[in-house]
Amino acid sequence: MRISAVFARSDQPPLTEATYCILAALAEPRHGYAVMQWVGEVTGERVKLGPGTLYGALTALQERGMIVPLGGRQEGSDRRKVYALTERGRALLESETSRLESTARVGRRALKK
Amino acid sequence: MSVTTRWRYFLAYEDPKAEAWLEEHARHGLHLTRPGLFRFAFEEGEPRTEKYRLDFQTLRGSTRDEYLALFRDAGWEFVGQVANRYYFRAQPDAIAPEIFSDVESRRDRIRRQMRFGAVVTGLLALETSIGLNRLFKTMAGQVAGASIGAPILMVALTGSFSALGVWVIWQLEQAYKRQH
Repeated sequence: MRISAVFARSDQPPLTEATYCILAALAEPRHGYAVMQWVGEVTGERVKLGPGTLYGALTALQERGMIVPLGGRQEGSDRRKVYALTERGRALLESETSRLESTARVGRRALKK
Repeated sequence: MSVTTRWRYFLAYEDPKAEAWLEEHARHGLHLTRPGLFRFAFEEGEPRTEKYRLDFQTLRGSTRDEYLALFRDAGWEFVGQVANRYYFRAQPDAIAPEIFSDVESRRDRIRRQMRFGAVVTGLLALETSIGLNRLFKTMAGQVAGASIGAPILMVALTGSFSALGVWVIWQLEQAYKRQH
C-alpha cells in the first residue's frame, strides 16, 4: 500500500454496494436503525449493514454533502439522528442507478446469447 | 457477582487475538465488564458463546453518542473504551452479524488505526531526535556538568518505542492486505 492510500478516501464513485443502498434508503428521511432495517428488507437480508459500516458511510456521505441530518429528532428517542438526501445526493443516486442499470444490461445481453 | 481481573496487553494489530481471547473467557463464564490497556475486569456467570469485536475511533460528544446508538440499535452492546479502542459484544438478538459488513469498511477501520499509529510513532520519533540532539550536545561538552545518562535513557526508550510503532504499522498493513 502506498503512503497516500493511508490518507485516501474510499467513498468516491463508483459507490460501494453498502453506500449505494444507504443512499437509496435515504430517498426518504430515516434514522440509522431504519436504514439498516430497510436495506436488509429490500435486499432480502443479502446486505446486512454492520453498524460500523453504516456509521462510516453516513459520516462520509455527510462530509461530501450528499446527505444532511434533519433538525428534529425521531419521536421516542433522543439520540437517533434522522438523515435525508440533499439535491446533490439525489443526483448521485440518480446517476449511480443509471450507471448500474446500463452495466447490468451489458451482462444481461451477454447472457442471452 | 464476583469479579475477576486478568492482565494482558494487545498491540494494535492483535485485535483478532484480543477478540478471540475475550470470547474464550466468555466460554468459560467470564464476561468482560471493563476493558483496560493492561487490566481487564470480568464478571463470573454462565458460560456463553459470544462475539466480541473491537473498533478504532477517535470520537467525542454527540458524534460519539450517535456512533454508540447505531451499535446499540444493531444489537451490539458497548462494553467499554480504552483510548481509541472500543469494545463491543453481540447481543443474542443482534440484527447485524458483524460490525463491519464489507471489505471497504474493514479496510477503512485498519487505515484509521494506521493513522493513529503514525501520529503516535511520529511523536515518539520527534522525542528521539530531541534526545539525540541533547545527547550529542552533552557529549560535545556544550552543556556544562550535565551527565550523559539521562539523554541516553531518553533516546533508548523513545527510540525503541518508535521502532515498535513502525513494526505495528507494518503489521497493520499486512492485515490490510489480507482483507478480502
